[in-house]
Parts: sequence; C-alpha cells; structure tokens
Amino acid sequence: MGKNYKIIWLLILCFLSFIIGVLLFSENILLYLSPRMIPIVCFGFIVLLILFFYQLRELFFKKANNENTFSLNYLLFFVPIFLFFTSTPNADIINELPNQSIDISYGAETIEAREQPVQENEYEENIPIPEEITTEENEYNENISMPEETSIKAEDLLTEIKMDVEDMPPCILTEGIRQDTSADQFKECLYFELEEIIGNEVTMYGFIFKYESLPEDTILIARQIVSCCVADAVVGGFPVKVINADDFIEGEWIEVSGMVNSVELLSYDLYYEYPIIIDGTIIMCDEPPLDETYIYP
Amino acid sequence: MRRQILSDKKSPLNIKKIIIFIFTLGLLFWLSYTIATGEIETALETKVKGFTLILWSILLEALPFVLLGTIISSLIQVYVSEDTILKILPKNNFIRLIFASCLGLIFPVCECAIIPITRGLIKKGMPVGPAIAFMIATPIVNPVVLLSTYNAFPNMPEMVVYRGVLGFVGAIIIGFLVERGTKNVLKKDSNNISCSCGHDHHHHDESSCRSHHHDRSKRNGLATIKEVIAHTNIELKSVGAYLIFGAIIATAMQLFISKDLLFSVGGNRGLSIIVMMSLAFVLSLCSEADAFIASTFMLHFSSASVLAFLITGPMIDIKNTMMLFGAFKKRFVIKLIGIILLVCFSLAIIVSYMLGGV
Repeated sequence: MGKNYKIIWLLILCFLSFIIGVLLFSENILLYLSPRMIPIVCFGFIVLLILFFYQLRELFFKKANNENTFSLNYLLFFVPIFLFFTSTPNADIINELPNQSIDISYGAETIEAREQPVQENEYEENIPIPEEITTEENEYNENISMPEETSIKAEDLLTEIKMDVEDMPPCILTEGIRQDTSADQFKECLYFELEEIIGNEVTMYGFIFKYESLPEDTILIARQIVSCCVADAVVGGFPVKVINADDFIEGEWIEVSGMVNSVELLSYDLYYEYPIIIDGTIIMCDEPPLDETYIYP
Repeated sequence: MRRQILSDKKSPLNIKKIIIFIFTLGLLFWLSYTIATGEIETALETKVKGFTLILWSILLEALPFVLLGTIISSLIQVYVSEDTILKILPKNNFIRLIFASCLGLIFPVCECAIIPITRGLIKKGMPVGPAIAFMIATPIVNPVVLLSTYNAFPNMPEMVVYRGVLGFVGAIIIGFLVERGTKNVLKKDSNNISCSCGHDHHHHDESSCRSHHHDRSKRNGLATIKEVIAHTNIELKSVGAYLIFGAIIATAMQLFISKDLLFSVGGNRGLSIIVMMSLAFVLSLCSEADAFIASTFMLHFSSASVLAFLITGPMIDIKNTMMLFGAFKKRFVIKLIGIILLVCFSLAIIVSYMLGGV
C-alpha cells in the first residue's frame, strides 16, 4: 500500500507541474497574475519538476518505508487540480466576479468629502445678492425669487463650476472601428488630479461597468487593476454620460472619446467629486489580448 | 515500531473512508454536471469558474514562495546546527527580539514562505519569542513590501514609515508576549524528519545520524542536495495542504462576503479599526499587494484604520492561520492569534488618537 500512496503524491506533483507549465508556456498565466510574478512562478515550476523526478526515483528505486497510511492532505491537493480541468476560467469571468473593490479615478485625489452636495453650498456662497432686494425681502416677503439678472449670473456660475448630470451633453454611441491604440489614455488619467484633467479631451478604452452609485444614464468605463494577482484586482474607471445606460451591456469593451467634466457622487453618506466624460463618442470594440487586459500599477 | 511521517491524527479508518467517499462523490457529481450541460454555461458554472480563477491566482502566487520557504527550512535543517543558532543570537532577551525583527529587512519573503522557515528555526533550537518576532516582522519590514506601500500611497509617504514602525514594534511586543509560559510549540509530527537514508530520527538525535553515515564532515554535495530535496518534498505535503485549505476559504470569503456589509458596520474609532482588521484577515492578500487595496479604502476610513489593515494582514490571515495550524500546536496558534489581534488593535487605537479622525 505504501507504494500506492507514493503514486498518489507523484500524480499530484505531475498535475501541478503540468498545469503551471501549460499556463507558463501558453502565456495564459497572465489571466491569473501580474507579469512581474512570472519569474517566481518559473522558479516554483522548476522546483516542482525536481520534486516530481525525485518522487519518480523514490517510487521505482526505493522501497516504500516512509508512508504507510493515506493522508487526507492529498484530497486537498486534488481540489484545485480538479477544478482547473473541469472549470477552466476565461478572461470574461473576472468582470463578473462579485464583491470587487471599485475605485473611480483610482489614484487621483478627490476633493474632500462633503456631507452636502456642492451645488447647494456653491449657490449660497457665490451668488451676490443685492442689498436693496434683501431689504425688500425682509420687509415684505422672505420668499421673493431672485431677479432674472441675478438668476442668469447664478446659472452661469453653476455652469462654470458644475452642471447637473442631467444637463451634461452625453457621449453618443457611433459605429466605427478602434484603430489608434496609442490614443488610450486610461492609465495616465488614473493618476491625474481632477483639476489637471478637467476640460481636457481624452480617449479611453475599457469595458462597461454598471455601478449603483452612478447617476442615472451614466456608465463606468473600467479596467481591472492588478498588483500581484487577480485576487487583489480592483475595478478602476471613469464615469461616462450616455443617453440611455440600458443600451449598454456590462462587460462589453468600448472606446470613449470626450471631454472631462466633474460630477458629485454619493458614497456611504458623503459626497465626492469625480471626473466624468461627456460630449463625445462611443465605439464598440473587441476585447484586448490577454497581455493588455489588465492594468498594472 | 515504525513512525508515520506527517500522517493524520489518530482518526479511525472508517471516518477517513467516509470523507474520501464523500469527496469522491462530490467530484464525480461536478464532473457529471459539467459534461451534462456541455457548452451551455450555467450560472453555477460561471460562479465555479470565478472561484477557480481566484483560487488558482492565490495558489500560483503563494506556492512558489511556500516552496522557497520549504527549501530554506530544509537548508537550515541540513546545514545549520543548534550551536550556530545560539551563537548568532544575542544573549539579552530584549535585544534578541529586536535583532530577530530586524532580520526582516534582509529577508524579502512574504508570509507564505516565512512559516516553514520559522518552524525550521524553532526545530533547530531558536527560542520561540525571537522566532515569532522574525515571523511577524519579515512580511512587513522587508524592502519590497515597503516599496510597494510607497507606490500605493504616492501622496502619503508617511504611511510607509507608519507601517514599518508599527510592524517592527508590533513584532517585538508579540514576540515578548508569546514567549511567556510557552514551551513546546511545534506539532508532534513536525519533529520527525525523514532523512534521505530512509530512517526516521528526531532532530536532536544526532548520534543516530552519525551511526548511519550522516556525519556532516563526510557529507558530499550530492548527498546534501538529496537530503534537501527529501526534506522539501515532505514539508510540501503538509504545508501545501494547509495552504490550499486556507486559499479555498480565503477565496470563498472574497467572493461571498460583501465588503459593503463590513463598511456599514464600522462607524466609530474602535469599530472601524475592527472592521479593517477583519477585512485584512478575510481577504488574505499578499503583503506586497495589500497596500494597493488599502489605498482604495482611504476615502471611507481613517489613516489609523487603514494602517490596522496594513499591519494585521501580513501578520495573520486565513491562509496563514491554516498553515500555522499545520506547523504548530493548536493552543499555541490560538494564543498567538489572540495576541496578534490585541497588539494590532492597541497600536491602531494609539495611532488613531495621535493622528486624529475616527
């Protein structure tokens, strides 16, 4: 029986070496890990191969004298091996994982969180109210509406600082083929401060992600940001104003060209200001190759 | 009476048979299901594929480091004598703890590799306190982790200093506390080493080594390499199994426990620190990558809470816990986990009062 258990361990080493070898040589390892981890995986593969040949030698040239009982540890090794062969994942799966961390604009600092939206504060702080009107209001009616002149100035001021999302011109879905891959500014924009990119024209390539905290008719153009392995992946992206969010299917790849404005989003009872892409075009695209699927910080 | 290497605890054979039967049945059921559904991808298959993706990403990242750790542990077993360990270590207990914590600066290994190395050092006579301080400090204070922390917080370089200092101080405190009233911490089976000669002997029993021509002075290079490979092979069977078990649980936690649920609980200073510590334990992230995840929490949590995440994760998580249970006695592991969590919480509370915020 001791020899049978040596065979089981030999099989485990064989399968582990085979799986890691196949992933390395087919480059499908990039589905699981960042490229900077590949050298250490190569080291692990070589060690497993050495252990495999050692175990082979133990099986055929040595008597079974070390192990006399079946260890339940062996069963655990078969779980990932079996899952790999019966449920081999593909690149689409990662975009469908639940409970992923989402970070809009990722590395850029946002304006300090507020308890109230900016629109209300800005309106009160920046609209100059003439003293005469104020006096009249107090004497006769506290609810007199602002004179038209002042209202126009208020709207202009709001337009300069902030538009309501509903008023922002959307990005239009158009037909076309993505050609200029060097135009992808996704990774650069992740690390810019809001003030640096607002008002700029940008072109970004990513997949569609629908996030409940986004305003209506807004989608996220996103990429998976992977530091070491897919287990630590974060969905990073930028809101995009569209005509109708229902026209877009989550997970499909698009290229968006438009202007950067800003939008306030409510998250855990506080308001944060983020960039949003408006007034542009959207082209449906093919998925990128595996080595370009993720972004590595 | 022949000793059994790394076999299970004395469980009756019928329970083993039942477990094997259920396990085989489960595998056959899943295989039948995938064959029956063919090319049609069901919701269950999608979830299992997602599970497989995360599980294998953790294993592909961790397994090479575990192999590295087992090799280093085997080299320690073969080359390092107990006298050498005692000569290297300072005599003063407190300085010993500082020295052991500083070793992390020159050992750029993650928490997966450090457990077999620590076990090897304790087997060779290193006192438990410095060994645990070394095990706790290395995944945090090593240069690779500090550099990745710097990259993750480009606008807050002080986070690197806080993480390094808290990790270093925490390791010393934990090493000091854990040594109190602790004697034999290794699991009984861990003390049996199968040598390449095919004979089992206790690690202190050097006389049997010599009687079987294992005198180090006469050992040639090839015999040494064979011995290291033999040790590595045996260690991988036990450490690897616990790694896989921990990875399975960590994957399940990542996929099925909502972070929003945890975030909704953390409302004040103490609770937010506990929430972040819980998240660090559950996510089981590599210490080189957790800083990037932690940076995404800065919007919702204070610096002190995020620091609690950054120091707790490398010290203890689900994956580590399983590997610790494989290497050390259960009571010691529970005591160690309790001390780690208490020390991390206390340090985070102190920092939260120093830095302000909830």
